[in-house]
Amino acid sequence: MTKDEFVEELTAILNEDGALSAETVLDDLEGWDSTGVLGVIALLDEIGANVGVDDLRACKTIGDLILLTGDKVKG
Amino acid sequence: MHRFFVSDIAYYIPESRLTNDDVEKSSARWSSDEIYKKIGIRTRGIAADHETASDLAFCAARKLLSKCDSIESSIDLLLFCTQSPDYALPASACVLQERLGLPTDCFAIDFNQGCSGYVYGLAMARAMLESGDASRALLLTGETYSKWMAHDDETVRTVFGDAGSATLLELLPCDAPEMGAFVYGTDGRGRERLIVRGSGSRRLEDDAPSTPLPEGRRVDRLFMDGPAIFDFTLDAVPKAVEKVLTKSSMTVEEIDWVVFHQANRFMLDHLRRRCGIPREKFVIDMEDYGNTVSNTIPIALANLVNDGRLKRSEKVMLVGYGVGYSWAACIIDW
Repeated sequence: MTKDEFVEELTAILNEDGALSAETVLDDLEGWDSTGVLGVIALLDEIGANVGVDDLRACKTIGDLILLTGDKVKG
Repeated sequence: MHRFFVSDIAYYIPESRLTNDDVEKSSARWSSDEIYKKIGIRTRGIAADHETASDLAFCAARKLLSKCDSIESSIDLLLFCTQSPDYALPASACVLQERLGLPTDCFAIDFNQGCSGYVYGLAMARAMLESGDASRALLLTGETYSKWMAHDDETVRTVFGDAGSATLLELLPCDAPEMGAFVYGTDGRGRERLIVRGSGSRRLEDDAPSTPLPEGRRVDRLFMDGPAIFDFTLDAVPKAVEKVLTKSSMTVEEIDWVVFHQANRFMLDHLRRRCGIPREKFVIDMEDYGNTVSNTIPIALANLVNDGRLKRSEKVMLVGYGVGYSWAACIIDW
């Protein structure tokens, strides 16, 4: 999956209208609640990124999330 | 040769309901439609103030036993699964033995499990029946998580509902060896992810959470870390499904129905895909009840039977998982 595709998926999961970027702060997003985190866990699982929930919660920005996916998100 | 089988199931949902509209009225953030879209639940039964988990199980048991004349006198095993017992002591199973008019030579015991509890109950009933220690078993589940909730905590109010269920298990003469198997799992590292602190002997002041709870969540009420539990199920459930199939020497194709614990629709959809289970044999039945903890599997089974979908001799896979962490899976001949 490319970085753009990943961010597009995140935008849908977190129910955001505006564009998200690597710099977007997760805590600023209304959708980054327990159901939003649930959705992101499902997305990471689908692309085969093995990420624990505590590492996920340590992420501050969308860029941190992308870093967590390792080689599963490219470009 | 004798084999255990489930002869009948009934359930009971308390009259009072909490709808998504009710939640919307008291919540600044959650709209009725959003709740349904996110978790696939429209309404939940909520026990009245005077009503306990054993009352709900009692109502389900009366419904079940009233179908057969004086069957009570032949029940010699009563298992009651609850995390909301009437008392710390005595066991609610003793109260239920008397209320249901079961014989005094009946084995009766409570066991404390949640979402995995129904499968554990079946496993214990099977062991007692097939060893000859019992001849007819009543497996009851009853849960009232609503009594443990903070009334402003939408993360649990939207998910959980109260209910009771009753399952009658008997022995049947059978020449063919039993096909199905049971597998179990426990990981107490997950104990803080779904917990009611201060509900037992451990003092609140000695039991601080290892990581601070999110803002607005009360330490002394039902606390659920939904994402962590989902993370756990993604690891535990596919492995349990694979293990129970291997132990039974079966493939998913040979299973007629798959009933997972009905946690929420989002989780179920994802787990179904992960486990490679075809949509048409995978049961989702929680819209009108919510996550009723140990009751979800028997409710779904009862509805399958009542709708004429689940038929005798079909193969059913059941998988329970959650609070503990605790999980179990089995394949049984219906």
